[in-house]
Amino acid sequence: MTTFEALYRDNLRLVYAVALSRVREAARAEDCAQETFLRAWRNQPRLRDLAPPAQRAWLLTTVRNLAADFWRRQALETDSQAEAKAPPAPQTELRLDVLQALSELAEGDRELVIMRYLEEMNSREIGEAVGMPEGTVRRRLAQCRRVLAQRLAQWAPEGVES
Amino acid sequence: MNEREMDRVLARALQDGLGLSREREDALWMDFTARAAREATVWAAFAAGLALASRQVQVALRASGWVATHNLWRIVR
Repeated sequence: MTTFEALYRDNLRLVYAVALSRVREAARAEDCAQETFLRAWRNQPRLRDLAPPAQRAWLLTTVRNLAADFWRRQALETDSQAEAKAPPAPQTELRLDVLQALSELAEGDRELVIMRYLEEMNSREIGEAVGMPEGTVRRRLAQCRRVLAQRLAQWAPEGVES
Repeated sequence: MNEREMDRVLARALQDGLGLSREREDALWMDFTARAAREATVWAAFAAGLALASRQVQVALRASGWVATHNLWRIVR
């Protein structure tokens, strides 16, 4: 496996999940993720000198910017041709619930949750990736957990009471 | 629900809701390598075109005597 393939495979899930939490559709999230890695590929000489947490931070900044660009373009297109909007791709009930629940969190908090529960990163690793003290990460995750637990309680395993 | 159970539910919900299957990851990697290869080809063609154009300009300038005049001017100066 090449160095770049390792970078891609180590970070794809996280980059995709952050994109999906922001653009809210799988195909568009995949496009955002691919474009993020193309930019990383073009910037290989710079990225190669960075430590993995800094590489991850670079990827996160890039995918956030691309998602913001997507919404800016979307707003322009909606103004000019509202009726031509494509229907969203079919998604599972749970996926919709997760996206709905995540959308109720602040954007920065969404990423903390994704890193913690999807990537299983600890508070120190998350802090390094987003430039936040470890204690702040822990406190904000606890707040997010309370909000999400209410929203996703129906997906709890049988026999587990709220 | 205690904290550990809540963590398990959230992890499952996020994996199911936002995760990518191994097959999808592989397919995306293949798609990415194709895009990167296309881009590299376009840049290589652009660079080759630029080099050719640069050589043609040099040849044209030499033919017109501009380079000799310019070099002479630099020596005199």
